Amino acid sequence: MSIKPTLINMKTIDARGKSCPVPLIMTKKGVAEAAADESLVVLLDNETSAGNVTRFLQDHGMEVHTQREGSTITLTVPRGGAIPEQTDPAAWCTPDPAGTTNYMITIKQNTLGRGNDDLGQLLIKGFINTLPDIDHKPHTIAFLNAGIFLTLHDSPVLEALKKLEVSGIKILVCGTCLDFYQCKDSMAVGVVSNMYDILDAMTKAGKVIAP
Amino acid sequence: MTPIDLLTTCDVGGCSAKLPAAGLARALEGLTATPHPNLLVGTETHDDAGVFRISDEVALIQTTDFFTPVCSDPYEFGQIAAANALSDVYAMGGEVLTTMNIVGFPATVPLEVLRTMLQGGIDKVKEAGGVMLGGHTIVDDVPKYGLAVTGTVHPERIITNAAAMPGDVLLLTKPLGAGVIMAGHRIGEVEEAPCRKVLESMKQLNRAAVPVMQQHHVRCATDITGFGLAGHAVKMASASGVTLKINIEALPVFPGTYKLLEMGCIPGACFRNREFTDPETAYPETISYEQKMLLNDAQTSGGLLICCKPDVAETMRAQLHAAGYPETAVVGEVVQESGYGLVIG
Repeated sequence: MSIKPTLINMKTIDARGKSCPVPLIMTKKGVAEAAADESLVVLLDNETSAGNVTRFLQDHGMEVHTQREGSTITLTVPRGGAIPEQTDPAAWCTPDPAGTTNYMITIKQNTLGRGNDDLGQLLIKGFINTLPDIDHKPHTIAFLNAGIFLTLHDSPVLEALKKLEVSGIKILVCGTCLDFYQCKDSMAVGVVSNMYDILDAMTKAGKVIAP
Repeated sequence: MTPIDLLTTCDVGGCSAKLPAAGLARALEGLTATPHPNLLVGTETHDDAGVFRISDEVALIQTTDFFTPVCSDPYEFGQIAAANALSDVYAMGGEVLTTMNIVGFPATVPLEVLRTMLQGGIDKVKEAGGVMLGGHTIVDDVPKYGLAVTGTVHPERIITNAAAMPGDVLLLTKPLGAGVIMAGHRIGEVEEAPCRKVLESMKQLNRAAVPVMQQHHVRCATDITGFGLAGHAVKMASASGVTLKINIEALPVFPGTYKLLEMGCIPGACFRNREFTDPETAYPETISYEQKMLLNDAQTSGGLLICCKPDVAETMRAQLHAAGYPETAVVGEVVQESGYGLVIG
């Protein structure tokens, strides 16, 4: 976990000069990269993009403030930021409500544990299919190496992963691994990610579960 | 010829360039109509084309469509713009008779490009069995191309968007996601093969579906273009006084579409279309953001959404496969009006 004190907790996405839908792609990436309490600032220079990005952020439950200065349109999404000095410490001790937990899962193979492969496949299937039913869900699941096979079209756990993704859990799939196994086109759930994003998520998570 | 990438000349292409449906409806509200006893399909049902009876045997179908470039190659753009314009005649169950070019062209682009583009259009009209009569060209900063088309149909065999009946089965003849893939292509996120698949689909005429529809006495269909599947489904529901139920999992989709949507590659037209369709659509809780956007993706020269009787659905699907639409799928059904135009399941 980062222990560096951050005074201005803000991520800026400069999408000026980019035409639709690039600003949206940059915004989506920025949202994924930003910490949960990090405010977002998106800089744009055309109304169409501003409208679409605003809709996108609002559709994802974010509050958007718009400012115009010269040709620049600034969208601000305030998230956390202020140090909650007044907050009752007890509030910080209550368990996280579902969906706001601070742990992630990394899956690095398409089996669970070492031993018989058939058993391993059965176990990983059970593990992932059970995830949608548990109360404290991870905020992110990262798939690496042979783990990426679980995100493809023929995955036995595709439905569960899609359900998790719809409920707002980030599914990161290692792009290098997809390329290596030549199955980028078969990916059916999650976003193609890179080591920076995955490592970033791991370092920011309260704990990382690696079954 | 100087190679030119037509996509460098415009910001939004194809049916994405359509004026938003909600705004258009407001603009058209209260306009004076020109009623006539021989007017069979007019403006009130927002159908694909107008139909006017000239005898007991023949009705004229008239339609026009034009837009800005959707692809880099002028010949290919000509073919797509023409296929898209001709499609409205097929959606009404007719055959193409005559066409005229509608062209806007920048003074700065070599005239060979114009000729190549028009040749693409003429070749499609020829394939449709139509006759090109001429056209009109103006100088314009951004190229625009399309056709005014006249077709014919027997007055009793007109297919409209206002005749869907509860119990009908819905067929869709081409995959969705063309707008998303082409937007991804513009920003270099789509490889040649998936892009080619979309271009070929946009060039394909909907003509071969007409005899199949007529053989099975289909009376209701529409082509899926700028308002997306959701938009055209809502229009059909409202014109017919029914509710359309569409199974999201059953929809044919171009490969790679969901991946782009998940990346945030969402064309502006999806947002515009949702402003019009969201109030009319019941989405299940399980639907993803990307699936909603897919339903609202603007298609250029998209497939036909056909209402047929349940007992012929499977035969029609097989015949449409054989006729050159191998992705044709049963995608839903028509039910009694339930408060929403469109229900997604």
